[in-house]
Amino acid sequence: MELPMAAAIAVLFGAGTYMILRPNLIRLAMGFTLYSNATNLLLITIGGYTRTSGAPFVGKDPQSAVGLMDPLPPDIILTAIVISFAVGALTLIICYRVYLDHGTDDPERLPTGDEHDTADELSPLKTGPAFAPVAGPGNHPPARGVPSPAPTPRQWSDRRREP
Amino acid sequence: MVGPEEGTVNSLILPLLVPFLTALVLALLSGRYRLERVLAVASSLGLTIWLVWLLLYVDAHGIQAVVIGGWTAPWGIAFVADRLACIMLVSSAGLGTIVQVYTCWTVTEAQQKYFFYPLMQITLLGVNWAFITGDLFNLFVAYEVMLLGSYGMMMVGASRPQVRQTLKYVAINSIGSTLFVVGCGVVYATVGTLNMADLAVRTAALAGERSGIVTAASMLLLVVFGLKAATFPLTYWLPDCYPVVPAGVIGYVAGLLTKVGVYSLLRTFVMLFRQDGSAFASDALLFLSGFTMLLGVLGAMCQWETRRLLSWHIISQVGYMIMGIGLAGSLDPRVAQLAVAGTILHVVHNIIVKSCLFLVGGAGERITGSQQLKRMGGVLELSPGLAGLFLVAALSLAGMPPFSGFLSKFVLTLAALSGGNYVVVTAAILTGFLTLYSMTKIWLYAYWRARCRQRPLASFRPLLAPVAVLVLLSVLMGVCAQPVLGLATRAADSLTNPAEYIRVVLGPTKTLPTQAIRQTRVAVAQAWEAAR
Repeated sequence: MELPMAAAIAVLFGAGTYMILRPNLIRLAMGFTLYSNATNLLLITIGGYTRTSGAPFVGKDPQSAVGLMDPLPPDIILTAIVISFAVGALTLIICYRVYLDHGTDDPERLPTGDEHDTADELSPLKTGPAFAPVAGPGNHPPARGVPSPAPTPRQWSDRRREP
Repeated sequence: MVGPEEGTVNSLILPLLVPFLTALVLALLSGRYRLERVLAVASSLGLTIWLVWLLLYVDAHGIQAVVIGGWTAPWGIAFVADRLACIMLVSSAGLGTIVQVYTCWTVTEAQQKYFFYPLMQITLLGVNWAFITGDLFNLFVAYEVMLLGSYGMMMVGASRPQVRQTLKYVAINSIGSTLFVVGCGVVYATVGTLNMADLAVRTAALAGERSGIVTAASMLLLVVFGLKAATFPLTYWLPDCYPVVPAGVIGYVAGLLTKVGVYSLLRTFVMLFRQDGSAFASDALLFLSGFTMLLGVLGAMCQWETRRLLSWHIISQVGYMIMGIGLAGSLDPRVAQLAVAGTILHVVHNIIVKSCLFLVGGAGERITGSQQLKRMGGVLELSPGLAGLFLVAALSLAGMPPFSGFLSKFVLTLAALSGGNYVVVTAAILTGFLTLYSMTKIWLYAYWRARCRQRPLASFRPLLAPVAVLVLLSVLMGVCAQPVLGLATRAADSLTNPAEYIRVVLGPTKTLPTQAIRQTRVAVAQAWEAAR
């Protein structure tokens, strides 16, 4: 049972890595889901799962521990699943919010410069949520083919300017 | 099963319970901003006082442990308070209190509406949990709780750069978490336990046979903790992510979150993975530490924003701690003990001074309205008090004699020199000079130049009090060097020789095969020499 499991784990990790490396935020979130599934499969394999092994504590023969799966890895998997749910949901929400903010889901088109300065934080007009969606009307994503607004280019000259 | 002093053990769960319950109460109190602040500060202050008592108690009476749920030790999850854990807990809760006092003036009500204080308490919960747990998988859960809290804290206010940078932070930490679970799994598969005391016994006895794969698993954990601590190849997320954290909060995030990674490295590579005589891990750590120090300080030198500059300095200071952990693999037990003591001192020093510099920077930003060094100026004229506090903290960071930085760097350098690692010492001393250079740069541009505006942009005077407390702590730590060094040495002793830890957690029957460890280490050292 270990060989097919190892193959499945390898495929899942490979697919997850491919997804994460794509320039697309939703694929990034999906890549992490694949990663967590691969990890859970790995843990099941570690627990000594074979085709004949029973569930922990309720094996074929209740009197002996023969053929039982190790009960600790399923325990770890449960915890890991719950955590990856929470983090996955948070990742999706942040991805969507970045998309609304910048009108693109391509990480390479996000602005790299830091427009963040303290005067903005302290000024009463700009405190609070700087939530101004740039995607289409009613926060709907822009239609396919419509070019999203280009991010403002980084102002290198700002950094060179002498005081 | 538990130590000789059974009376106090159940209260070891308080560092988790107090922030957790406070977070619940604060989350229900939404809208009553003033009450929320008072409650948050009061709960953290109370916890700090209790933890100081616990530190003194543990220092006097030995390690305390509690196994949750009535299971016996290798199966149940143990919470262990040894001296190192107590020192870290006191630092965490104390810094949490000071930062929360500071944020009473810097975090606006609009930001507080986003559950700022509950998230802060959740982060405190995760950090405390990571320090007190005695189980490797439980450490993973603690990391996740801490990370979820810190994601929320970074995004408080939800401005565009905040959300964008938090996405990076979430992404890089998700990869770290995956590797952490895989590492736990491989350790469990090869060693058969996740309890730290049991791991220390079994990995030490494992010599030879399956030590290769355990070393591989420990390298996975090295990547995970190195990512969290921002060591050399995995640093690039930090200087981008930290500057967007709201002013004040960054003091806690920058001061403590990377140190959780360093603490985990200390715990795992000094206490747990000794299967190959630590030779591989300690060489790798020493190699990484030199690069981390130099890369961090060189990155800091070319920055023109205070937050970004100080963020790069976090990296270079982590390099010193990694150096100490690497030196702990030395064959001479006195060198190892000195190195671990130096690391502990440097961690505490850095928690105090680094967050102090960020808090000073926050006050400076409120005066000048900018974090660009070239747009700041004249803080010395506008607030001499703040300038004085910055000067002390900056000199302490650079390692000038009367302050805490000198003590820790001196102990680390001493350990490295007696271990014969001259290359790393050169890197460390060079880093010290360059640190002084970049602190001078802040001083020249932000403090000494002509004032950039007639009066301070926003009120900053109340912020001086929490900063002054931190500066005072740094000075005290440098002046009272002897008792502080004594405490750190005792903490290092129980880490490099975990017999007491194992006895308290697992009961008196299990002991560390000290003889076997020594033989393995000597054999490995000879093998390395032969290979060279």
